[in-house]
Amino acid sequence: MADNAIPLVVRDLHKSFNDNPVLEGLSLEAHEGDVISLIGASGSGKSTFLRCMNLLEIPNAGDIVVHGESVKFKTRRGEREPADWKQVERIRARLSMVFQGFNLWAHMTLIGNVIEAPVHVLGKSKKEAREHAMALLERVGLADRADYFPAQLSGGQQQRGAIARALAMDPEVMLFDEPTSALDPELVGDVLKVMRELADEGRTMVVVTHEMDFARDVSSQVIYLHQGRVEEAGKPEDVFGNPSSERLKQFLGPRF
Amino acid sequence: MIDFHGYGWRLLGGALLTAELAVLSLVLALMIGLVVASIKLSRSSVLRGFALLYTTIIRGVPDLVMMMLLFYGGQIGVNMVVDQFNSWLGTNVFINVNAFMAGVITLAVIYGAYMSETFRGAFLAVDAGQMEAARAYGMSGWLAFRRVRFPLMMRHALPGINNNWMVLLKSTALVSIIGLSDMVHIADQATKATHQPFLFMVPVGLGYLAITSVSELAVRWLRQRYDAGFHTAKRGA
Amino acid sequence: MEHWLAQVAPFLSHNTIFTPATLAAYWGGMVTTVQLVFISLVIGIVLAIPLAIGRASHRVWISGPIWFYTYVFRGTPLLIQLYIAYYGFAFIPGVQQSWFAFFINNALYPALLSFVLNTGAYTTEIFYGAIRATPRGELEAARAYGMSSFTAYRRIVLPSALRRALPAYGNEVIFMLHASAIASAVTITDMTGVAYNVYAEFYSPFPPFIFVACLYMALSFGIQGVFRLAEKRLLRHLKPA
Repeated sequence: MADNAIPLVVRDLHKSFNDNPVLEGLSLEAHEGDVISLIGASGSGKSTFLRCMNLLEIPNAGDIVVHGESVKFKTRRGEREPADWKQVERIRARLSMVFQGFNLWAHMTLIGNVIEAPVHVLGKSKKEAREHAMALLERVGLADRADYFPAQLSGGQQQRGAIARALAMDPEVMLFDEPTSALDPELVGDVLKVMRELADEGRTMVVVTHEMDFARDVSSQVIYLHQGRVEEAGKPEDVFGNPSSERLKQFLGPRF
Repeated sequence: MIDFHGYGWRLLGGALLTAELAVLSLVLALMIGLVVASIKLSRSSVLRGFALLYTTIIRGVPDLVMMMLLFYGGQIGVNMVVDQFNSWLGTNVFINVNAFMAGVITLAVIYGAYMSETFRGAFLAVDAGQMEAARAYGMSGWLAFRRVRFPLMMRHALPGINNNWMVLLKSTALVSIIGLSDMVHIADQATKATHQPFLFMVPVGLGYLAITSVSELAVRWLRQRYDAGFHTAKRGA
Repeated sequence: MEHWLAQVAPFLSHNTIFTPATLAAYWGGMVTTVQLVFISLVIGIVLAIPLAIGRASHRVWISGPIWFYTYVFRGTPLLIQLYIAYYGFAFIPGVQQSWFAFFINNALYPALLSFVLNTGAYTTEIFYGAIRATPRGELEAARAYGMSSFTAYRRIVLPSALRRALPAYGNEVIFMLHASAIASAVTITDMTGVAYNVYAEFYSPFPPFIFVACLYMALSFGIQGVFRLAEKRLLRHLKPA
């Protein structure tokens, strides 16, 4: 398949913080409709990997290609940085991120959060953005909370709101950074339910998660990271059903 | 050497007066602040009401107006009281309210109010369990206050005290308006006589900057003392 | 009521200080004070917003000079700044014949200049503190959704920072109102100047100064009330339901 038909290709990504290598040559291909789960212990580099994909962290080496458009880099004073920030902004707008800590903008209402980037980044009209936003809030079960401020919502509601905010961008790929880790256990279910529905309707997703059931049932591919390298990758039934790595076996525990 | 047209020594004298004024008012303000803070935390609602009235008035009125009221009104007020006593006792006493006293008292009364707010907040920030522990080990009220509550409170109060002190220091400049010969007053006179404003005003400004910078360092040092034990990881041997 | 009036009426008619003339003078002083403070504050804010953004810059050649400006103006008494603005230009040879003479001949201009620079410095630091307190995640979300630095500042950082700065800025407004009393030291008849004139005329300190103190208090509490209302409206998003 030609590269420009694939929503997201990452090749041989390297990243280190203060000379400590965190990512050592990671690659990934997310095809249309793929749900890729990144699993691993904390410190394995899975969140950094995800954050490199939309350039919240700048990788020291490697390529990021979105629908055939490769992010351009240059080197200044020995540091690698994007050559064209406008390009970065454009690409970020096509890859919506959902954060562990929700990161809803506290001074805006929920609907204000959802229409913000479509209006001020994509240049949509307020009216159109608002209609779309209401439909999305309906989907995640928050239509009646549209005019609430984030601080007035529970964690689970905030995260579902954040997913609506991500959907409002009509993203080509959705990036989830441990979306349920900051939630009380009883609120996790609602968020996972929304994510399962998104997977079912064919959204392309890359998910960093600790929810092994979700990774096993929903993913098309699972990547297990250890110390910045891919330790094992494959279809969930293989990774969970028949892990070959000792470390992965230990990581998964007796349940799988 | 810069030529101060003979005002050099007088400027230094003015600086000394500024320092005296500032330190004296600070000490008084701290005492007033502690007392008023205790009143605000006391059980008597009448006393608490007076303390609240005091801080409310101070917060609503400019320093300079307060100072003028005390300076110009102080003498008359004191005379009225003293005359009353003189007529009762048949004496002939006269108490002179000078500008220095008026300055110190005004600054102390004003910043005492702000200090009381600082101390009140700091006392409330001390974990109640700490005092309970002190009492549980048989410390008397005064001992527990001196050894436990006060040092713990100071840790919370220091930033506020520092802030009030910086504002107080700059407010001392106001005494030049009621005729006290602090460094601003001398610089004002020298400027009018020599028509060289920058020659006198800039060094005086630098003088204030020097004092604020030094006290910033001093407070940093004090903070470390009172912070002892709160950042053990950083302060390991 | 009538009983009360009967008591007050003789007091008013025997009152030599609070005549229509002095009350008019007080009114004039109040107008001067309010104008001086209001104009200073408005220009101060306009100055402070870009300066606060610059102060938050990681480029030292931008943030350094701004830090120095706020350090100097917050570290020295406003009275010195006022004197420098007031005397600083007056003794330049030939200034009386220049276009700049208007500045020398009306003390309001040097007062305005020093007040603007002073409140500008304090306000810069207040806004800068609020900008720095922007939750990291909110800024990161803005970037993750493709906002440019400019859009992120305009839509996310500033709106939330300026709201957060509201309580501290309210204090600054009252501080400026009180600090403006020193305008009377350079011949401006603001509220304090009027009180002093009345005192000097009747040689009676208590009525004029206590009266003007009450006026300042009324203004202060009015300002406080306005800010409380504004906080209630603009900061409600921070309160859980």
